[in-house]
Amino acid sequence: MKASKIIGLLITVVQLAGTVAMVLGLYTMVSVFSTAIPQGEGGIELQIGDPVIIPFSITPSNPGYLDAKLSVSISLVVDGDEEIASDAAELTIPARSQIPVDLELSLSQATAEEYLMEGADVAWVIDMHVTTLYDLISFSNTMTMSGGAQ
Amino acid sequence: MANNRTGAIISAMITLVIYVGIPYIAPSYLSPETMTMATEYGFDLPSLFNQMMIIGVVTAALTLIKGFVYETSFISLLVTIGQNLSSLIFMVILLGAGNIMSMGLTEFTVDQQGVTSTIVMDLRVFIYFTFGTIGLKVIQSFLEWTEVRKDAAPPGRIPA
Repeated sequence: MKASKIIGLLITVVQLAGTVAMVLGLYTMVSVFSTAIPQGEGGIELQIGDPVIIPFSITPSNPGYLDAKLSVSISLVVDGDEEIASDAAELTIPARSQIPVDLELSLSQATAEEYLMEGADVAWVIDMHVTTLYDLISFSNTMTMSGGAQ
Repeated sequence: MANNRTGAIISAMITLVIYVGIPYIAPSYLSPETMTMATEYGFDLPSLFNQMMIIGVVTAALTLIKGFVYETSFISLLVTIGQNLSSLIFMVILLGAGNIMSMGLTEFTVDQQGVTSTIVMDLRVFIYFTFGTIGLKVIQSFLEWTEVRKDAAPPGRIPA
């Protein structure tokens, strides 16, 4: 067999493997990300007290064939960059499974009264980072929503 | 040689239809809302289509030239390498969502209904992968070229 034919065969195998990896990786990444976004159905039930607890629950699912790592963080920011409350989670979602994630923001009653009202100068920052294909590809989205009492 | 020329003309025409014709008419089939949404998401679709058309014209021209030169000529080897490079550029443009300089690390910001989203997509591994594949293709082109030259040389003569 000629050397060029052997390399041609190698190229075909490499291209096929690359295409399969790309399809599987993108499918896993997009699926995990889309299911990890809080849908906002039913709103958030604040646990009033001291401290005030703001719970967030998401159930990211991975219908793909590769494991995915998800980092999610949520924070309440004032004056542009000062975090007054935050929580984060990092998890590995095995292929074809889903894992519920519970996050909560804890604020003192005084802080909550100051910032959790209509028109308050606060911003909610949700940061999501999904990696898959053995950490070779990633997708991240940092969402910033302005305003209190959302 | 005649067969090569006919094949080259047909290949060039198919390339023109796929890489020039489709991107040229695609914007007229996309609704203004889709174009606006793409712009809001940071995708410069007209620029992406233009880049695809340029790559298409270059690839079609190279295909045509290849059909009209002898396979043993040095120009044939250069044209084949040029075709490989144009497919590399096409992949870099595609993976960079139209931004060739991003090299697979695409970042864009969307501002919608009071929510600012900063999205970062890292697909650089596929760019490296494409570089590797194109490198192999260049080696293959060179080996094929030397094999064709050997086969075309008169018996007992080593090609220069």
